Amino acid sequence: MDADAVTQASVDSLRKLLRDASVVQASQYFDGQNVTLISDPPDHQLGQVLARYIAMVLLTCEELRIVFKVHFNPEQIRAYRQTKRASDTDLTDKQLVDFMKELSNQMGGRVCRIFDAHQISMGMSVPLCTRGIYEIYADYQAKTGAVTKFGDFWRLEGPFDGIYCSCYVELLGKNDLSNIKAEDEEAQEGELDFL
Amino acid sequence: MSNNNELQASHRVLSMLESACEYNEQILDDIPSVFVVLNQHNRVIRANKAFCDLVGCTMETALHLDFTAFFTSENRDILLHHFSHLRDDSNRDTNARVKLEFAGTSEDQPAKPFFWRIFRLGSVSEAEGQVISMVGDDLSGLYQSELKLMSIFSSIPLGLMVLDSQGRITEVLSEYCHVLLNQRTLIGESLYSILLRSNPDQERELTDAFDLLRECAGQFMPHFGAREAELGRISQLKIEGPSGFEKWIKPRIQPIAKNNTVDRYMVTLEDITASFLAQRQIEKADLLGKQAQALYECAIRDPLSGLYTRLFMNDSISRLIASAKRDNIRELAIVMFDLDNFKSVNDTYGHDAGDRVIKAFGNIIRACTRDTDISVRYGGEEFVLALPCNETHEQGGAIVADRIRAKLADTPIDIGKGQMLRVTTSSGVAYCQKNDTLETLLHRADKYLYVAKHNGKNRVCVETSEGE
Repeated sequence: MDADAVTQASVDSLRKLLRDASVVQASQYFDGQNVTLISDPPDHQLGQVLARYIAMVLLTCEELRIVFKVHFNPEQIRAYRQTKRASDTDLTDKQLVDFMKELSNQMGGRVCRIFDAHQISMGMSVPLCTRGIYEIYADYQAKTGAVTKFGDFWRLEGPFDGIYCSCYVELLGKNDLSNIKAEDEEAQEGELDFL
Repeated sequence: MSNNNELQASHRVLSMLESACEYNEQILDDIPSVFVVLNQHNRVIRANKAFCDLVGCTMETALHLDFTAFFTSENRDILLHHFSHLRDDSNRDTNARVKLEFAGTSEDQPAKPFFWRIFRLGSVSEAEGQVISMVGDDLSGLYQSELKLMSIFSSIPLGLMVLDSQGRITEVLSEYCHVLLNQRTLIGESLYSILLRSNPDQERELTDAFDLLRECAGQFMPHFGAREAELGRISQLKIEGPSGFEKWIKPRIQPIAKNNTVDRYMVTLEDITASFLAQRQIEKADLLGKQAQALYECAIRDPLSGLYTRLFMNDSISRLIASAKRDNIRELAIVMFDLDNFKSVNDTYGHDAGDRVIKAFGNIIRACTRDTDISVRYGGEEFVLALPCNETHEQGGAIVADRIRAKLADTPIDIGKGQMLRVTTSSGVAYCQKNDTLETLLHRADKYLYVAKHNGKNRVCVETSEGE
């Protein structure tokens, strides 16, 4: 394979890895319920914000840098929490934000573990949450030309109605990363109820 | 260990930044102005609570709305023009201000006037493109206040208008201007010409005043202040029209400053027709009063002697008698004078000489009596005095009568043509008693006068307490 083909294979692999990681971890986070990935959300147009809040983590290693974001509206999560526990009607936005920051943290953690399994040590930031117009990394379209960075976004549908995930990945080298795949990693034992 | 510390520190800083970001977002959420951020396609990518309240949506549903859909097609074109201008990289403007109505979400919702400030935020991501933020302030309250103020302005009975530096009317702030100046069209007219038409007699004052306005235009405000008093000369002006239309106005002129120099003038026209007419009625009433007083004076005052006539005597002396009976007056004397040999004066020197004698005697009587005494020319050469007295000595009337007699006897009278004449008078004095009337008193005084005449004239005959 030539270098471009290697890079393209890495991109495709990483794209799948990130998407899969989000689905698996979201399902686990939302009480093992079924979560479906919508690859190209039909009701979304480029340039539109995906939701009011963004929870994100930054993952870095020698090979690449990933900004991983979860876009959500607190009301959706509040509604979901109410179905779980009636007393959760009084949850503040801050609590819901922390809840979703933890989700992004777990999704990032899952990616780290996959890389670790391939002897690539990856660092991860604390999750941050922001809102407003700050779609700083809203580069959802793949760049043309040499593929050294790419963006992606998708929708997860589940008991929480729908949230969006997006990522912005910069490949820092030309190593073949297509072999990095999630092994049959079982969902983490011991369900965590953040709230 | 060191790396761990650095990591912790970094996490801490990030956490603080996150809090700061959230704090800023909260401020944006709560500002009373409408705040939105629009992407390249004018879709809302950030909205605050004021916007959501205005549109009637949640923070979530506000996202993705087409902001321009809330404007009428005409206003939308204006808005898009501004957007296009700001998104043009070749253009250096970074913001624009525009007043546009926000049409709202339904036909039931009335359009609201808004003042918008539009800012170019630039491009952060390719997908969002050139991002624009807008801050809008609802002017409805301001407009309502303005309308209220204008309706007050329009309805007050005061003419308010603005003149340019040349004295032309540029703004009519109250409808009453048209009524006062009796003119349907005022804008562009010269106020000087309008006022001069009805007040040609005040041409000089008007010309001076409007020359002053032209002269002060563009000058510093203190310059006008120093000469403002000169405008006071046109205190009231008349406005005439067909069918007997007549109004009186009082103009007041105040400069409108711009950079501390006189730019224009605010004119207040006060309708003083009512007060002017009332003043005229008062003056008329005063004149009538004076005329009536003069007529009355003629009726009660003898022009020759300057003393009262019998018309006045009846009432006034009757009142004194009544007062004396109530013991308010200790003593009331009635003195009746008669000039001695007056007929021969007339016959010898003529009636003119007789008149001079009457006049001179009147002067002597007035000089010898007080304001409280009543002096009357009773007939031809007969005079009556009513002398109220509260002093302790008795027969004050007799004293006064004798004083007058003596004074006349000692005073030579110029009867004209270089001739001087000495004249004497006789008098009878009667004192008011409990059952007296004017007639009885006069009758008794006349009786004593007769005695005085009979006893040789130039003397005073006084009633004694025994009535002799």
